[in-house]
Amino acid sequence: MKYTVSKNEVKNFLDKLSASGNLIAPVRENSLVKFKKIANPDEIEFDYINSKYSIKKYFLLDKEVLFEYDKDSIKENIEEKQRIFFGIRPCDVHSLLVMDKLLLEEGMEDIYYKNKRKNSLIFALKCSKSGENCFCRSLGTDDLKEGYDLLFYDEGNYYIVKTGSEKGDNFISKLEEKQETEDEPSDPLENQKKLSQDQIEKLRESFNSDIWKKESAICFSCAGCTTTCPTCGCFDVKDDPDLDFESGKRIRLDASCQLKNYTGVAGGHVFRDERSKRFKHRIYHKFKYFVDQYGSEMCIGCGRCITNCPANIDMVKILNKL
Amino acid sequence: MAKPRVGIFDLTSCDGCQVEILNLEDSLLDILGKIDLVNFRIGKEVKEEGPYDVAIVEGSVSKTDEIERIKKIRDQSKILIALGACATHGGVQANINFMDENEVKKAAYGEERLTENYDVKSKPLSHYVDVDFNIRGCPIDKHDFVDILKQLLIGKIPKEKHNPVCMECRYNENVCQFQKKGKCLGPLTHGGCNAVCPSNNIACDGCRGPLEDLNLKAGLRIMKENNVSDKDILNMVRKFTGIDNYYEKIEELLKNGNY
Repeated sequence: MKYTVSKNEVKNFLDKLSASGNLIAPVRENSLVKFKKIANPDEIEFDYINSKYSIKKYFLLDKEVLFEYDKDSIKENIEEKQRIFFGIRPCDVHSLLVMDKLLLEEGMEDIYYKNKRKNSLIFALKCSKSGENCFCRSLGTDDLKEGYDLLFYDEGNYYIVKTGSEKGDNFISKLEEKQETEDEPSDPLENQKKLSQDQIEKLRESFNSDIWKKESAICFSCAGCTTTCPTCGCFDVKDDPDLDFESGKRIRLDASCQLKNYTGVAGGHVFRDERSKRFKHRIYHKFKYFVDQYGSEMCIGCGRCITNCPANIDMVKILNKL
Repeated sequence: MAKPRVGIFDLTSCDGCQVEILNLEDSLLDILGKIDLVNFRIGKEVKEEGPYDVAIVEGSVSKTDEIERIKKIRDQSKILIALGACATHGGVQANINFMDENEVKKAAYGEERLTENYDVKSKPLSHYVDVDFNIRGCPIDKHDFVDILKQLLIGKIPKEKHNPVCMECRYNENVCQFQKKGKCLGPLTHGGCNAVCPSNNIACDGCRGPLEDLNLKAGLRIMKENNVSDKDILNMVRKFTGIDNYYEKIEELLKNGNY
């Protein structure tokens, strides 16, 4: 269903949500927009180019205690708290759909992720303008067909709101000033980086190209790209015993394919020992390996790997050189 | 099973890393239940001679008699752990390696106490003996000390993560110092510090030491693009890590414009 809702009514709506203490929304902090818990809806930044850091940290933490154990029992650390995310951009909702493919595959569900996902309401907000590194249009991730409870389109004086779930319908039904509409929301995104399917296809012939060595010469392997990529979810698992050595906890830690020891195995061999191999691997995983396995790109076109690269390495530019 | 005999020693240093160990108030008694701490100058009056199962050594080797001391400790110990930036990379006092010796001594001790006999250049422990493990930083993170002990106690070989400071800097959602057009040793430096300096808007000056897999030229290139002078870069590098093969390599790359 589609409705038009006045901006004032949306503000009242967010007022009520923030009083619940479960609202997470974009906030401007110095020069950065970050997703934070909101106490007062006046803090919310509605007009922002996609945030430098994504909402990944709310679903896959860089350090997460999975369970605590002692001699007799194991206590799983399951997040049961309800959370409402307002203002997530469509590309980032797509990133959750990508993570779902990885972490909610039947029979292999990651219960820690699953519970966080299950208890999260997604109120997405379509972008009004593109950032300099955005290329969502090329990947079809600029809009949403699924993955949201409510989807807001800013139409200037009012919002068009789409409902995408029963929970979303329930929320909308509580609004007083709303009107059903057949209008299509406007689609203002322009001036994006471009990446064609034909260009992506060229990866299939480029594995042995010398472009990888050339382009990776200025890469530090700092992992700025993978750490901020909303669909990079590789992790390491570590046990941390207490000093009595009878109890302790198991911890999941963020990992990065850009680091040399990531492919280190017992005996000391490292499969991707050269920087260029690791550099290439990230791009192949996003645009080929994942496509072969799941039928669509892993990359959601948010451009964060470009925005966050201290060496200004631009994956789209590189793909367009193939 | 007998508790392992552990000694904590210090060479030239400020003792700050040992103080960090004493700061482990919540777990110090538990630790002492698991090890026999037989030698710890700043924490224990009675000292026992070696052999030791584990020797943990703070400080750099800066005097002739320290060369003999570290060799003796090594001979007496099954496992040797370097504690803090001085022990792992020479530390702040390694600046003497690049400056006029007398000037440094005068600045550090004043005219009247110029008797201190720092007669060799400041070197990390590994310059003279084999070091098994490093506990990095200036000062160390006391939890790293507990972690390495725990791993040894359960018979594991302690492993380092080898990630740059940058990763932790991103977890803290900072703006990159390079992107602020500044200088930073983060991408060249071992993490594990939770990027405490950049998270407080101070550039990383590399106290945890250079990564094994660093891309020096790439780091220098960006700092030069940001108009950081050679002198600033070298001063930053030698603040904690004035070790020959690192500092001199950077000096050479800068001199030849090879970045």
